[in-house]
Amino acid sequence: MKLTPTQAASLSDEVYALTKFPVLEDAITHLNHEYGGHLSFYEENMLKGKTGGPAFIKVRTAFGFLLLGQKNLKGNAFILFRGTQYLADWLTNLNLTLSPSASGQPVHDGFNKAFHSMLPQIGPFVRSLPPGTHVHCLGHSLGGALATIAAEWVRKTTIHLPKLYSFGSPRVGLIGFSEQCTRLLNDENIFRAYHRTDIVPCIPIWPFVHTPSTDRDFFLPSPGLIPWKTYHDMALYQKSVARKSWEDIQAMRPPAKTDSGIEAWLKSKAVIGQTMSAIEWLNEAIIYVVKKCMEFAGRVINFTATTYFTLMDQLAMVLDRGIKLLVGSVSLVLLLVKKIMQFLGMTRAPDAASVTHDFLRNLLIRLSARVNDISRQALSATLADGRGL
Amino acid sequence: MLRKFVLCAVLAIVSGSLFAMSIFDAGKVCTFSAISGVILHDGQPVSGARVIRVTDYQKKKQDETVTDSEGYFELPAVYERHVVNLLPQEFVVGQLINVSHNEEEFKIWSGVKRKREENAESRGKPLVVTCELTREDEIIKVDGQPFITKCKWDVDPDVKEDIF
Repeated sequence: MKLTPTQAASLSDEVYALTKFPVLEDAITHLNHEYGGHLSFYEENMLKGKTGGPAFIKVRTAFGFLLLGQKNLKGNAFILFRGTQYLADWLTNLNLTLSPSASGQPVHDGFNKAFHSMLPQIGPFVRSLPPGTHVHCLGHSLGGALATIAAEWVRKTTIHLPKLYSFGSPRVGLIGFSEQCTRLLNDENIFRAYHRTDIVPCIPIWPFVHTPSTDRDFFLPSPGLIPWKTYHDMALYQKSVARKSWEDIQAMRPPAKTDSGIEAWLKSKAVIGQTMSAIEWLNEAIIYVVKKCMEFAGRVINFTATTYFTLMDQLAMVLDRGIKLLVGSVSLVLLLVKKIMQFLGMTRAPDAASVTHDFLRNLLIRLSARVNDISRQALSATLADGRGL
Repeated sequence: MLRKFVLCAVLAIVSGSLFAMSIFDAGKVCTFSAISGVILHDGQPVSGARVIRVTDYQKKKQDETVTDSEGYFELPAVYERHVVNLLPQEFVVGQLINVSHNEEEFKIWSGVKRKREENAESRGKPLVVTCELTREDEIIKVDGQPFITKCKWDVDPDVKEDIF
């Protein structure tokens, strides 16, 4: 059985209220009432004895709930997550470090540590489930990241094949983790929903990527030209998925941009602005151009960049090697450089002689900084609204 | 593989150091709206009862009052400063009101506020309650915010949908 988007969103939202009820019994009462007795806490009697565990996991960095399906949900188990401020602080710390996931792939150490501190309760729970139990891992935001690590762990270390649902999750690990996790779970069991203009799925920076590694994710259109924090709200996710099936949501995904579309965009005379749309086109165009350059100049970079600046350097190197690559009579790299400069508001027309490795590297870093600025402005505006209270 | 690598690289470019900063904001949020009303026991006003209110936002805060001869009490709105980090945070506040009467403690209000605005507990109207200590708890949701309470106030609860 798989949860509908409405069910998954409801559970991912309720985890917030469940953690904040002043009295534990009230959380139990609320859960029973909200879901008509279809869900119960694992070992509810122990909870009522106020031992605090094991269904109610509270560590400094995260909260988790272990739930069992009742009535027609018998045979289903649920692991719900939510992160805390501590985890947010870890995530936003620039000193990103990595540690190995259950299958030995690199993931953000903060998420990994948080998950491992919950494992003494999650482990016995999952192992106690009879064969054939459907295990569902869910979470919004940081909770989505924890659910991802948990799902991989369940698959790797137990007999169960879990399903994973996340809303507005940040990126959890590197490409190796993403691919391995996708292989282990199968992308049909992964439901990653995100608003187009939610800022959280944009972090942490490279080399972090989303799971699944395939295109099977659940894009939700949201208003705004630039990434905005409003559309990270769980309430808005609930609204966006209400009464839709996963297939309905999948149908909303915009088609991938084609090679000829990208070339046409690169050659177009239209001046681009600093919008989400321009950012998306630039994304695709850079991927396309870098790919072409690699085909042209050979594989000139290794894939072991470990810092942001090393990566920019390597990208610049690829573009530099491909500068003589022509489409028609113009250099593809120069077309791209022109678009990036437009985006940055730089007017000087580039020529092949001035476009050196250093120039390209600086341009890429400036691009990054500019997008950063856009986001900062967006956030400042949001904060100014908040002051009206 | 290559495409993915480049995709990562590009995502890095656009996301850059988005999260490098945190913003401290002087904004305030309402963690418990002004609440007033009457405490009853078997329909009779309860005078001289302690009404103790706890909010649990970034940390726990408590205030209290005593009912007058008509069982009437009022507590002001609680506003708290919130530190806004770059990462958006869900707004979640635990709310509790206990009434202490004749050495007995009654939990009359246990809930979770999910909206930052004052009077979100009553869809924007002033929160005026009548609480009967002998009553069974009622479980309701108002605008997605759950309450387990012995109080009644002028609000239409959310219509419950059975999703399973």
